[in-house]
Amino acid sequence: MANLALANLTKRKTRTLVSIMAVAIEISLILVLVGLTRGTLDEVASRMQNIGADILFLPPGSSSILSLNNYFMHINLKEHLVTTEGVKAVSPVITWVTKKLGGFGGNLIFGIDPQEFINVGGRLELLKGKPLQGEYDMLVDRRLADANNLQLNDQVEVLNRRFTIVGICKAGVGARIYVPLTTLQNTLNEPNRASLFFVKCHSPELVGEVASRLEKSFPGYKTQLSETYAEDLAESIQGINQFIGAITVIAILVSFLVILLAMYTTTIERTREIGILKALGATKAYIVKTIVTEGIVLSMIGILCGYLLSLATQAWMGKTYPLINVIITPSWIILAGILGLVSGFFGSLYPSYRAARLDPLEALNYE
Amino acid sequence: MSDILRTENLGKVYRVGKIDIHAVRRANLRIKKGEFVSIVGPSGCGKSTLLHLMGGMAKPTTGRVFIEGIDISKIGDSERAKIRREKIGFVFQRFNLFSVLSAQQNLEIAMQICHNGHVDHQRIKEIMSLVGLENKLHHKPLELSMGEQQRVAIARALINNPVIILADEPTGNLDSANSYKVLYLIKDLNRNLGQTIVLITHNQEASNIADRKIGMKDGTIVAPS
Repeated sequence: MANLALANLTKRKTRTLVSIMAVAIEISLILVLVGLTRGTLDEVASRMQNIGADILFLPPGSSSILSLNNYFMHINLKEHLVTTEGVKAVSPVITWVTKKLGGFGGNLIFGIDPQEFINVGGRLELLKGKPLQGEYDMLVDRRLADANNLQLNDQVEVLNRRFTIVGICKAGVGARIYVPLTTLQNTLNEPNRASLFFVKCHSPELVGEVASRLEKSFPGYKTQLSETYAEDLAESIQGINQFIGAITVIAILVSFLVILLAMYTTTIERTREIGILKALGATKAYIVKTIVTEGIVLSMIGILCGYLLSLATQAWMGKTYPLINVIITPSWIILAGILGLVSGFFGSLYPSYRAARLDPLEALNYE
Repeated sequence: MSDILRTENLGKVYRVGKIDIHAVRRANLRIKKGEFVSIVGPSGCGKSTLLHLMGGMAKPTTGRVFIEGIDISKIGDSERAKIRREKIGFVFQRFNLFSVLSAQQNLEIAMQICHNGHVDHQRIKEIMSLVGLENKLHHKPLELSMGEQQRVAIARALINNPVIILADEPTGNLDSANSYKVLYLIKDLNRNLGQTIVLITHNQEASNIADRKIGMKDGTIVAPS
């Protein structure tokens, strides 16, 4: 069966290819950028939640984004926290961010007391080697070790100190790097200080109560529930949703404009063809349908190519930057596809409307 | 015999800057069912404009056009498009085929437009056989000679059983051999199928093939109508 729309697409191969690429880039831009943002946030949030603690107790003025905090509390607070009703265990942690060993924005280091850390969650699983014992012992997670080809007994210099990797732990819990609490305190020249306290409650049902109690007993200090960490993190990053929205809008606009330009030039080139259709008695709706169909077919092919490009980009980033997560979710795949179709449809609408209104004789005589 | 097409004081004026150009003046024509009429005149005399007015491709400035008794001069674009697809077949000097489609597909498009997407492949084969191109169904226009392209255009004009075929200089782009073939094909369509045909030409010899000749000069019909 004759299909003028498809026949024209295959005739003008270069223009068809460029239009498809524009839509594909729109789709992959949306999916990869959103996936990168979401992946990073989700990864950070899940690592905090996977520690197993119920509450993060933070100093006044601090942020849920631990790597941005530069505030410290006295370690003596631990004695008051642990005697709070409902609290089972408390683990002080001092944090620092090192730019060494790659990672998106650097790698978070936790200075911990190993036993107390286990007491609040117990989910730091050692895959190789031994726990922290010596002053300059270091644990790294599996992902960081693989990304930097680190082995047991390798030495890593951080904050002008030489640490020895004594253990490799399972990834996805807390920080990627662990060193002894007192070592990091001394290195940072913050003796008897902590950046935060992890708090474990006697039972999950008490968590809310305990958090309120802590806020009352320590006015100005901040409590962050582990179970809401992900949402609170997303909210605390000012403008993250606006950023995602802006990227999405820009991508749609670019795709819409490319389709508009492609369809506009194609209708001008095919003015005589439109004149022939009118001479044959084609309705305006028929002409609009022919041109919009072309735009939508271009978009659909572009969307499929965009999906493939996104998956390829995700795979490449996973290989090249193993510490960075790109999460492409089904809901965003569907949304990006719909946005691609919408940009194709509206990009073709004006050119098709213009074509439908052409005078048949003028169109037939167009050179 | 009833009138398939009738014009009453038909006129068309084009305004170019401050000048009015009277392309057609007070044309009165009657074309009966089954007639083969040629309209002949020098280039620029208004024959094509007259044809376009008769076929509903342009709106007249004055006068009226009737196709099977329906006045098409005052109706809107959609209604005129309906008249064109259901009642009129056009053949143009430049063939005006879709270059991206095969001969068969060019006819399919015409059928789709007229019959809401429905295509009768048997009829396409019959019509292509009638014009002697049953073996060229899948050829694109560029793969056909100019004479063959014009015959495909004639087949397209016939495909929806129009009440009248309007042919505007159908041999204008053809050599003499192909012109002869096309003219006699048109003659055969009239003689064997009773197809009503109006042929526009500047060529006196070509115009003689019709049963009735109408002369035109400076936008005015000057010979029997």
